[in-house]
Amino acid sequence: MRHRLGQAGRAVLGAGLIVLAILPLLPAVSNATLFTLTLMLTSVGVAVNWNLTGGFTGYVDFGHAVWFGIGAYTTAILMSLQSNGPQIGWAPIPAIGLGALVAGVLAAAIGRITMRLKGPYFSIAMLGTFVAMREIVRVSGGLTGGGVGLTLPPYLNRPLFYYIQLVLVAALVTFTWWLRRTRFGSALVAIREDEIGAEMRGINTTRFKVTVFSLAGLSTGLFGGLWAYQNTFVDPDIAFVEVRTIDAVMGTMLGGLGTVAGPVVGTVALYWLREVLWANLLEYHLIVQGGLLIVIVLFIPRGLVGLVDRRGTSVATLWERWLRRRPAPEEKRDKP
Amino acid sequence: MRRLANLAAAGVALLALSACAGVGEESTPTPEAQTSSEGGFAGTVRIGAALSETGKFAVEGRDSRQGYDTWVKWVNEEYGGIQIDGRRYAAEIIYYDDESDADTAANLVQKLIDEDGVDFLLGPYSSGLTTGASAISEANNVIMVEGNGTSDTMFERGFRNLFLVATIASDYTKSGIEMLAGQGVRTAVIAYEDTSFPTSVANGAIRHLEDNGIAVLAVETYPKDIQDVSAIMTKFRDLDPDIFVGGGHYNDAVLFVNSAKELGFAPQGMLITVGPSNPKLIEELGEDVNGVLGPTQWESVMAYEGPYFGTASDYAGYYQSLWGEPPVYQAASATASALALHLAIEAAGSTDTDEVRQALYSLEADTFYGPLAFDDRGVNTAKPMGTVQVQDGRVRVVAPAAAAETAFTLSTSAASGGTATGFGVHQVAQALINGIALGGMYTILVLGFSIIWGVMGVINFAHGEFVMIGAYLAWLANDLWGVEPFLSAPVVFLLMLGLGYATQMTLVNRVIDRSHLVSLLVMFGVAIVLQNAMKLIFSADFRRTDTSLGGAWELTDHVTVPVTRFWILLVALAVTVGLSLFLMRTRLGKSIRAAAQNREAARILGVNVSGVYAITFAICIGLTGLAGALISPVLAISPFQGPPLTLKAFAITAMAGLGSVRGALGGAMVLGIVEAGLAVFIPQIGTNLAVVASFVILVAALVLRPQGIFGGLRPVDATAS
Amino acid sequence: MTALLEARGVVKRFGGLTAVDQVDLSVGTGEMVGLIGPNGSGKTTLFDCLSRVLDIDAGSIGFNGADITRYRPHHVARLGMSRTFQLIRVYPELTVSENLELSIQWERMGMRGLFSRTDAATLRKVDSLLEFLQLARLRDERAGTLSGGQRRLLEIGMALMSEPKLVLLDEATSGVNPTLVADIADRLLEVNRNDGVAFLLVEHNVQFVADLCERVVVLNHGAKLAEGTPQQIMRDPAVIEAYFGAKAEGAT
Repeated sequence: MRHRLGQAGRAVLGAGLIVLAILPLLPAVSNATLFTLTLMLTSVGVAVNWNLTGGFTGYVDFGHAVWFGIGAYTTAILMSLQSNGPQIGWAPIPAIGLGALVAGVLAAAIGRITMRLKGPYFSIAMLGTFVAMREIVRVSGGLTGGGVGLTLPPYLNRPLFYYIQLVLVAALVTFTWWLRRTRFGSALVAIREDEIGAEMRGINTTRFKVTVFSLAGLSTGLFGGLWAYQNTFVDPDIAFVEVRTIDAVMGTMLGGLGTVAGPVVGTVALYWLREVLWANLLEYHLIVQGGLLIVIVLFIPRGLVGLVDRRGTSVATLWERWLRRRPAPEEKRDKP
Repeated sequence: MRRLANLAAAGVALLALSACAGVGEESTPTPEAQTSSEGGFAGTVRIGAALSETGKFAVEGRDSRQGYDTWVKWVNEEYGGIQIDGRRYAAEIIYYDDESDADTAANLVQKLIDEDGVDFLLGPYSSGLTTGASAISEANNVIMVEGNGTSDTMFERGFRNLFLVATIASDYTKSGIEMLAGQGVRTAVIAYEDTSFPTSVANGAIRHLEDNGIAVLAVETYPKDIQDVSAIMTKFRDLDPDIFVGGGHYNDAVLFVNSAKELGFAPQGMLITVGPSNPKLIEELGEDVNGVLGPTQWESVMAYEGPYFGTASDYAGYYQSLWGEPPVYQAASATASALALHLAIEAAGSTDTDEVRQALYSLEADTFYGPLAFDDRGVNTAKPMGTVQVQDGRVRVVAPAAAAETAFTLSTSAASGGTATGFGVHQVAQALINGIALGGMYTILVLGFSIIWGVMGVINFAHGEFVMIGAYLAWLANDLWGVEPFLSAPVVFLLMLGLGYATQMTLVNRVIDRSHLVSLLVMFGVAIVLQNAMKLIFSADFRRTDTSLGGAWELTDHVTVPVTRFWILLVALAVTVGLSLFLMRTRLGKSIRAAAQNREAARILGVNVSGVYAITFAICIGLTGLAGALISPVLAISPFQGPPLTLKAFAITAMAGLGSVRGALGGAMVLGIVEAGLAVFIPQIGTNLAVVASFVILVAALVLRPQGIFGGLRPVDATAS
Repeated sequence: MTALLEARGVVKRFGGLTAVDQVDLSVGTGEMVGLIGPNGSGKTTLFDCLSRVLDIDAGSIGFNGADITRYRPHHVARLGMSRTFQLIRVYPELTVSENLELSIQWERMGMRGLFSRTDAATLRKVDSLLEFLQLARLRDERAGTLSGGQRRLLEIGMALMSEPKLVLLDEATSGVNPTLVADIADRLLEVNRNDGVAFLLVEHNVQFVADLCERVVVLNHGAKLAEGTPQQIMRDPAVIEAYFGAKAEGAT
């Protein structure tokens, strides 16, 4: 397809990547800074995944953080396995890997049901899935440690985690960039543009959207597992947090919905903004953040990427036009 | 015009970004050193702490910090510095604000170790934050002494650098239960919030009850932020136990005491984990809370004493002189943590981690906070937990005997009837009554949401926040002038009508013709703004209005009708009928229905559609505020009570049909009865499941019957193809 | 010879309204069939049933030797049925070329095809179709910016991209410049003769149907009223009564 991150964009991303890669080698950069950046990279990764379903496919998921929690919990359960006392926990890499897989498989199963719904119904059904899953984890005490949660063997190597996340996020962004250029990626956009038309033109919409949904779930599960390992403990209220979904939505909206670079740019900007707001506004910062969301949605629906890329044909403009459309039910109601 | 708006928005964003660039790395709060080294010291012992200055633990964080600073002040100015090898060192604590967030706390501890090079750490506030932070200190081999994170899990990880001066969570109820056992108590029931700290407390309580020969008749768990415990209390009432043990957070204490009264559940003693030691509870509940027992880490009236700070009350006096307020136990725990570290450093004669750790393990000292001696987990097992009881509107220490202020009294109020066990008709009847009462509340809560969606196609994601504002208005009237919420409700309706009109004119008008996502996100932004604005104005404390229409009517021995809810149900039914008549019979109502069915056709037929929308939105927000006022005596009022209500409104509306008044009533009743039934008939986790029920019903209803059960103003077109 | 499309006793109800009532309909290979009827007679609903956009309440639908009564639309598309819509469905934010590129036979390309960019053969086909539909100069315009007539043509192009055996055309001429209508008729005939593609047309433009089709089916109130050659139909008194009404002469 014709959309790509123009030359300048790619140069900026490349330069940014190099800076991020050599950052840990600088003496001025402490582990604490790396930790902050690692958390930011986690948010970027989750936002990129969210954008796969929310931005490309048009299915706005208000419960995406559920896959983060599933990945985190699977990893934690496997790593803290005990048999009559002694730890027989798994090594981190297979545990995190299986965590991602479990998240992906569950996403496929749940997506098959919830993706039959559209618009706000899908959004809220996913929010419900999220809340329900948190309670299921909470009441399954034997496996999950219930409300008390689970603790993992602490292993803290900030530069290592930082590099792992950096490589993962870079790979993920490259993957979405590539995916958007394949026919599969175009089919996702076709589903967003007109699902019935896409289905009638031979696109197995269920399979395509559930595939991308479970891919996003798998990838977010991976970030969840990594987070659990770094955080050294999980409980239902820190593994399943609404804020992770909200950050993904806000970051993507701020950067530009349905664009490859949008979630990256937006999430980084969001972190930056937050630091500024925190430092200067303290208790007002959430009020300002809520106001900012309103302003973004109403006045810069194309996001930061859209502001830079003013060409009318870019995918960055899709969102804006999409917003202008009437809600779907009314379009369809003039028949039979 | 649009271009201008775009440019302006872009300008704002760019300005903000450039501000970022300017502030750059310094944008995190700068450390504030608390030191008073005026020479004479051989050096400084650097200690770090992440504490919550903002966020949900802001108050406790401030108390903890004042506790730490009390020690700094005392050690540098009164005591003359920490003595190491005959030389005196100044103490310095470096603080960062962890924003009440676990990730941030962990991050800041890392920063304190790496960048500030602190020798030791003091704990943050709460178990959740300490769990993450202690893993960092453990991995970096830095000692952390703390007094405000007491969950058992932290001390089961084999950490060698974490020390707790306070009593561990599982022993919170020990002294209270021992005392109750001595009074001949034989049976108990337990309810607790299923999160880390309350679970630790409850597991400990079960153990202590069994050790003392008290039979545990039932254990119930409930989810965080619960608003209604009536099902649990119904079950407990039927079991007729001698005592009730329960709790999670402050709000739960309010709910338990209220609900027990509402349902006529009157055990001889109620032991509630968090709340009773806080004088605010008495302010909030008045004489209803008399007799309630609760654990406390420390009270200034306790008979503890040591060579440092003197007695508990000496410490309280010193603290008062510094901060102008008496110390709460969080502050005392913080001071004691710092003091324990201080004593260990002196005993070790070094700041070497291994030597200080050894000194901590072998430390035995008497202090104003109680005796200190750590076991091999790093837990201070020498200090027993205190127990307080609310007596005549005052908090009095009643256990342990060594620290007690006064004797405690068991309630002699006659409990209702004998024990009724098993599955009986009365349980079905009670579940139905609870369900219908709950359904009445849901009806009045959902009407405004449903009609706005049905008529305007706008999903009001800030619905729960408008309920919350209505509740606060009723609370203000109740608190300032003692006005009955049922009487202030009409005034709240009118005020909220105005707020609704203003919101419609400024924001909602802009999103009506846009996709659902836009209205969802804009209203979500409104919700965030309202929540935090209300929190700034009213604080995050839980409130409740008083009504004279309280208590319970006893139908039979084991079946009661909660009076307040009954009246809410009546008002809900009246409003439903009135609204139906309004929509069906009046000209305006007919215009509203026409605009909902087909906006263009209505416009052609001469209906002023935008006017109709403004009136609809205003009326619906008015109704929503009215709902808030009505439920204010039943559900705890807080800035963050909204989101679960919005979700329930969504579930009921989607199930029932958009904008259907009859549907709202039917859906609300179905959900209320299902929730009450689950909570009453599923043992232990019933209340947790009730939370999930609305979503299961929602998804099932949408997938199986996308057009809704009761029909409505506009079709629910939920499925994709 | 078995028919390419064979619908028997198709019933579709919306609540109390029976929109399609016991309709039998068949289209042979390479045949051009017209479907006409007054407004609200259920033509588009029948199309939605045949192309499996709507589930039917009774009856059966066979296509290309398979019973497709329970198939999903993309299965039907794979078997070689494509269609256009009365309310045009193109992907408005994608370019004209992209719209066509995405209207291929998805099942045939395999995983490798799915996860690569559009191949050269498809692009050649897109270009030749654009040439054929006289849309070549709009190749890189967004479909949403096209005029109604241009979008109709694009939609017809999208229906032809997947090398179908049968194309259902729903009001292919409405909103199209009258000078273009004859053009469209020529092109449809060309495709029909050269590639043996069968067409089922829903039309208001009766002349268009009469010119193209050898057989016409008339629907009224959801039920089949008549069937036959255009000449037979125009002479059928029941049809004149129901469809042409008093203005029979004027309408033709």
